Amino acid sequence: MSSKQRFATPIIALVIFALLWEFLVWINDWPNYVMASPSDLGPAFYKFRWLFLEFGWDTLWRTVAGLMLAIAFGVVVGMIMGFSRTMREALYPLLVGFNAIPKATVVPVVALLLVGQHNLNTVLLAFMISFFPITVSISIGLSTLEPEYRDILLSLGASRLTIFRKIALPKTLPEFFGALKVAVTLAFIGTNLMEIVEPHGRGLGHLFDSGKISADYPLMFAVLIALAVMGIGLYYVVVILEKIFAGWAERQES
Amino acid sequence: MPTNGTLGQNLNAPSIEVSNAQFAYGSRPLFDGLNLVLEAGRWTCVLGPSGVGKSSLLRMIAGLLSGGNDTAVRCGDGSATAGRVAYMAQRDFLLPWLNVVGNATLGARLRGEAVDLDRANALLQAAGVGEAANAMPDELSGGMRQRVALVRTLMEDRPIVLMDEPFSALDAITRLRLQDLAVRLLAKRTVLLVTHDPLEALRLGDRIFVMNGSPAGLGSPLEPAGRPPREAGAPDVLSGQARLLRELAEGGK
Repeated sequence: MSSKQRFATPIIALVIFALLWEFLVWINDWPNYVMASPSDLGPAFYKFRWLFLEFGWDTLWRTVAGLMLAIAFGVVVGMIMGFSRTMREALYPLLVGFNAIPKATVVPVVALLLVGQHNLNTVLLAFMISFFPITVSISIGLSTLEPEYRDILLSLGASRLTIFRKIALPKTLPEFFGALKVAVTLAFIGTNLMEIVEPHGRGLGHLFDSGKISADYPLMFAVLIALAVMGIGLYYVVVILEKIFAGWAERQES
Repeated sequence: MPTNGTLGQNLNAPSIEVSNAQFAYGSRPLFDGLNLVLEAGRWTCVLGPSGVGKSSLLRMIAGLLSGGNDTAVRCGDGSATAGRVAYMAQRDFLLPWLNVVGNATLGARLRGEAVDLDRANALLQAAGVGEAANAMPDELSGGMRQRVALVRTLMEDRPIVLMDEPFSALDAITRLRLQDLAVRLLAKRTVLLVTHDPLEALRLGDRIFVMNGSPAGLGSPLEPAGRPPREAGAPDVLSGQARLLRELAEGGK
């Protein structure tokens, strides 16, 4: 596939999607307070362009900060679980249990615990919703490292620390990036949960909420689209990082 | 083609004596009080069914597994085995993010030493993968990958080489070629080859032991006539196969 095609294909898909959406609204004759159509989004974006920039930045940096936290936590706990069977057995039920809790119910708890710390709270929620796949991927990547690898490398005179740093960790990179792609989109959900459920006047979640209060459906949909665009953007950042650091794992196209 | 004299630098291959080797898998003893001598500069093959403890014995000699209190692994020249043993496994375990040269020189890289690229290229050439020096492992066939793994082992230039079924994952013809190559490149080294293939043992072994029973013991060695690598159709190889298969079957009762 040529690079032109690689860019054109998703854009054509997007255009078809927008046309279908527009058509659906038009054929049903839905008014703006029931369902917005793509042609309403442009004016909505333009009207609130400064708010979109300001609140979009809020949401973006909080999401990225939450992700960073999730990566740090996930790598450390994943390493502990990857190397110790006991820790793996001890921590898995806890992690799974915590992950099964709907995060919307955690919002009021966090908001009460750290009252007024809106930035921190939002970052924390993004973290809580996105650390699980990262932890699991690192733990699985490390625990499935073939013992013969270790034998060969030990017989080549490598220290255990070298084996860990130069072999075990790089070997988990493909799994790690796979998990990170999931975590990126999850983190946006976390950020917006906090911004919508516990409104504090910041972030795209707040913009969505004000759209809801004033029954401005085009604004609400514009927020959703902005979130989707940011999610796609961050996803491709991860894809690029993956190409740089784990490009060797990619199958040759043949 | 470079001779072994230029590729193998410090080859004073010692004999190795394993005495009272002892290992249990859980509560089940795999072997107990097992003795084995690897003669200096020769190929010793240990033949046995899967799960009999061949690999454990080999890993014990490699120092990757500790045996019982009375277990001793000594070199014939009195010094320790540490640092003189190279190990090769059934799978190649090439690192997917390093190219062929990078994998061949992995030992030096991991130890933070200077990489001898000339020697690596000469050895890759001798192993028939000189053309692929810059290829990535996933571009190579199974046989080529195992050649690279063999070069990685040879780069260490250790006088003792322990091989755990290194050719068993290859197709028949590739296996024969790699056996010939290994004999040529590992000349003058003390080699222990663990295998479940009687033909392989008979082609390569100066001395062949059958490992059998529970706990496992070693029978008296078979010493086929002629120099390895022997022809697959040589009389001693054919009659030897019958004997080895019989011994394997008897132990399975």
